[in-house]
Amino acid sequence: MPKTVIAVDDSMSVRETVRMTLESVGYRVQTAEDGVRGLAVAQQQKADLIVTDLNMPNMDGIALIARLRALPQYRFTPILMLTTESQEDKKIAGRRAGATGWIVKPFDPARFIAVIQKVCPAV
Amino acid sequence: MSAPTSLQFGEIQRRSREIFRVEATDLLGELEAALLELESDPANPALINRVFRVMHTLKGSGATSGFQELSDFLHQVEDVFNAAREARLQINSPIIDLTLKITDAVTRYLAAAPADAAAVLEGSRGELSALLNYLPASGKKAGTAIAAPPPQTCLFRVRFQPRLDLFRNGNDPGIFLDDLRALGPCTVRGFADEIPPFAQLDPEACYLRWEIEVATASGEDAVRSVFCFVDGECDLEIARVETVEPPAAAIPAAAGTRPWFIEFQTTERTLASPGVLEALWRDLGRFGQVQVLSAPPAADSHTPPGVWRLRFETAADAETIASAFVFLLDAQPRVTLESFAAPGAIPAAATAPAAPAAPPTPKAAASAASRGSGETLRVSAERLDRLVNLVGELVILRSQVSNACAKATNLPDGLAGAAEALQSLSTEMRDLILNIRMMPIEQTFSKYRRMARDLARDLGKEVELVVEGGETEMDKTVLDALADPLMHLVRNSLDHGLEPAAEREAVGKPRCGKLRLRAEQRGDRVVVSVGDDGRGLDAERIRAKAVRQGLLAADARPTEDELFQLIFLPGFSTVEKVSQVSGRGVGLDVVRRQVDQLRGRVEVRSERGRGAEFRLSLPLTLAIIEGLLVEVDGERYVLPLGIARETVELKRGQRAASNGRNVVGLRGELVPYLHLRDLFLFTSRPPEVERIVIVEIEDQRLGLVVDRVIGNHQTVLKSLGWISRRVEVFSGATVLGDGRIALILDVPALLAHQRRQSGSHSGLSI
Repeated sequence: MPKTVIAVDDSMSVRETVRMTLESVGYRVQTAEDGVRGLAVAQQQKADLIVTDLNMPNMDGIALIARLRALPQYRFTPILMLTTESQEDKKIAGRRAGATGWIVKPFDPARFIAVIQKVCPAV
Repeated sequence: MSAPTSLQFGEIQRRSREIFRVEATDLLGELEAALLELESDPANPALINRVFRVMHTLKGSGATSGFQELSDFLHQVEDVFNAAREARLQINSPIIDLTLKITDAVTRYLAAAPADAAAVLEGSRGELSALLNYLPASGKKAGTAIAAPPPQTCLFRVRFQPRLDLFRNGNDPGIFLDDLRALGPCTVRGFADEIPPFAQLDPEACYLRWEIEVATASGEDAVRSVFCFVDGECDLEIARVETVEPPAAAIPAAAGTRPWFIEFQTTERTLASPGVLEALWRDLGRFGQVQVLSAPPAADSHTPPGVWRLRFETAADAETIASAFVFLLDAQPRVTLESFAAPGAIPAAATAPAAPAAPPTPKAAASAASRGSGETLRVSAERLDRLVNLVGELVILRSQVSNACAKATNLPDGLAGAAEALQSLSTEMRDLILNIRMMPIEQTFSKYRRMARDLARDLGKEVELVVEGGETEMDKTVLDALADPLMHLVRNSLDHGLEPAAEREAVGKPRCGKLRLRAEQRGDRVVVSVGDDGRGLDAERIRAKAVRQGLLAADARPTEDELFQLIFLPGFSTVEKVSQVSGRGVGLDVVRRQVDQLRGRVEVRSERGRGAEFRLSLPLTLAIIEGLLVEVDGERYVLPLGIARETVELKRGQRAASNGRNVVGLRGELVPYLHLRDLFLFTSRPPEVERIVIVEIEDQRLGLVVDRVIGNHQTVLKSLGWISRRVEVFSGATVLGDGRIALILDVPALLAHQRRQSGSHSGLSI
C-alpha cells in the first residue's frame, strides 16, 4: 500500500510540483488549494503525511494544522509546513499549532524527497 | 520503490515551469486588479495584504518551478509591501505605478525566450530600485556573514531529552537518531529512568531521553540541525569532545558487511542544490558506515567541487550503493569492492550504473499529473481546438450516416437504431465540448481596468470602471476576438465620451466619470456593452460631417438612430483633432468590421449630455451554426439561420419588371435583393421561379436570390484560411452529409457589397 500524502497549497505550480515529485518515488498524493479543502480531504481519508503551505486564503496553514491535530486520527501524523526563509514567526506559530517540521521554499526535488522520506518513509 | 533519475527530475521541472507560466498569468492579473483597488484605497490593510499574498505566491511558486531570478527579483518588491503590511511604509500612487510597471515586466519576462528573459528583468532594475527607495532604512537588510565551520572530523556528545508532547507534533525520536547516524558513526544510549509508575503513565507521552556520541566531519551546525524540528522544544546539549582521525577506524564491521571503495566527483552543478552532500551522507548512513578517504580541499565555509574517495562498509550491493548518488548531478560514482580496488585505479567491470530506473515516458508523466482529486484541470486551448475540430468531423460524419440511411431501402437490422443513437450521442458531445470552451468574460473585462486607468491619467480625466455580468460565459474564440473591438470602444469612450473633470463639474455632473462594461446572455446571444456618462453623441455634428463627406444627401432626413449608424462607416470621425488615444477616426468602422466577422451586431444608443452606450450582440459560439442550405446553379451555400426571416418567390416576369432596380415589395416595403447567380457570374439560365431569402441584419433587410431552398442544416464552420482573406463574401465552408462542400455566405459582407452598389445613387441605404 503506498503512503498517502496530502499537499495543501494555493499555488498550483507548487501543488503540482509536490505531486509530481512525490509520485515519482511512489507516494500517493492528494492535493487541496486551501485549508478548508485540505481539511475536507484529510477527513475523507486518513493520510500518512500532510504538507501544507502557510499563507492561504479561506483557512491558512496554521489553522489547518491546529484543526488536524484536534482530530483523533491525526494526533500523531507528521505535518510539514512549507515556509519561506522570511517566515520565522510563522514557523514558530506553526510548531505551536502542532507541526512536525518544515520545508523551506523553494526546494529542489531531491531535498524535498529526503525530508519527506525522513518523516514518512515511502514503504 | 524505484529511485527517481535526474532525467525524471528534469521532466518534473520542465512541467513545473509550464504550469507556472499559466498560473503566473492568473496571478499577474490578480495582482494588477489588487494594485488598482489598492490605489483607490491605499491604507486598506486587507488590500495591502492581498497584494502581498499574490506577490508572495508568485515569488514562492516561481522559485519552486525553477524561476529563481524572478523569485529573487520579486522578493525585493515583496519587501516593500511587507513593510506596508507592518505599517512601516505608506502606499502611494508612485509605488503602485512602479509596481504595475514591474508587473508588466514580469509578464514580458515570462513570455520571453529563455535567452532574453534575464534581460527583460534587468531592464526594470531601475523601477525596482526606485521602489526600494521607499523602504524605511531599517527595512533594508544588510547581508550577514556566515561563520565558517571547521571542516575536520570531530566527536560530539549529544544529550537529547524531548518534551513529553513530542509525539503529539507527529515527531518520532527514531528519526533524529537515524539522522545522527547518517552524519557519522554513533554510540547511542537510551534512558528509560523517567518513565512513571504505570498508574500515572500517559501512553501518548515521551518519557525517554538519549545520550549520543557522534563522530562527524559535518560540524556542530549539522548536528544541531538534526534537531531543528524540535529546536526550543526539548532539552538539547551538544558538546564537542575531541577531534578523531580517521572517524570510522575504531568501529568494527558488522556481520555480513563488506568494505567498498567509492569514488565520485562533485561539480558546480552538483553543489548548486543545497544540502546534496548532507543528503548523500544520510542516505549512505542508512545502510552502512562511511569513511572519507579523501575530499576536495575545503576552502572558506564550503566544500568546493572535486573528487571524493570513500570507504564504505555495508551489506548492500553495488547497485544499492550507486542509487544513493542519483540525486547528485554529474557524480559519476564508481563503486568497487575494496579487495578489487587499487586506490586511483578502479576496474571497470565492477562499476555499477548510477541511474538504475528507466526514464519516464511523457505519457506516464501526463497520467500522473492528471490523476487525482476533483480539481480543475488545465488543458491547452490548442488541444481543445483539436477536440472541437474532431467533434465537428463527427457531426459531419453523423449527417453522412443519416443521409445514407435515409436513402437506403432495406437497412440491416439495428443500423437505423444505431444511426439514431449516433445522432443523439454526437449532439450531446457537441454541446458538452462547446460548453467546455465557454469562459467568463470577467478576464477580458479586467484587462481594461488597467488600460482605463492609464488612459484616463494620460488624458487628465477621472474615471471609475464598473463591471457588470462578468460571470457571463462566452466561447473562448469569441472572447479572444472581442478583445480588440472592446478595446477600441473603451478608448473611444474615454477619449471622446467622457469630459475632463472640470467640464463635468461645470455641467453639474460628478467629477469622476463612469465607464460601464456589461455583459448579459439573451438566448443564444450575448450582449456586451460599453457605456459612459459623458457628453453623448452629437447628432447635428454627425449629420454635418456626413453631408460634408458625401455619406448623406443634404436633404436627407434620417432618424437619430440612423444618423448614429453613420459613425461606423469607414473614414468617419467627428473629432477634428487627431488624438493619441483613439487616433485618426479609425476605430468604429474597424469595430463594426470585427464584430461583423463574429456574426455579431453593433449598435449605439446615446442621449446628448447624458452619455452613450455601444452594444455588441454576439453569438455564444462560432464553432457551429444552425444554417439554411440553399442552392444556386447546382452549388450549395449555407447562410446563418438566425438572420433568415422568410423566403418569397421571384418569378421571371417579376424580375424583368423590376427594371434592374432589384427590389422586391414586401408588405408595402421595398427590400433590395442581390442575385447570387449574377454575383457569382454563373451564366446558366435561372429557373422559372427563384426564391428570395430575406435576411435581416443590423435592422436592415436584404434579399438573396437563390434557385431553391433545401432546408435547415447544422453546420460546423471550417475556416477557409488564406482564401477567405481574399474572398469577401464567404466566411467559411462546411462539409455536407453527402460529402460535398458548401460555402458559407458572409451576409454582413454581402450587405456591405449591396450598400456600396446602391450607395452611389441614394447616399444612404438605411
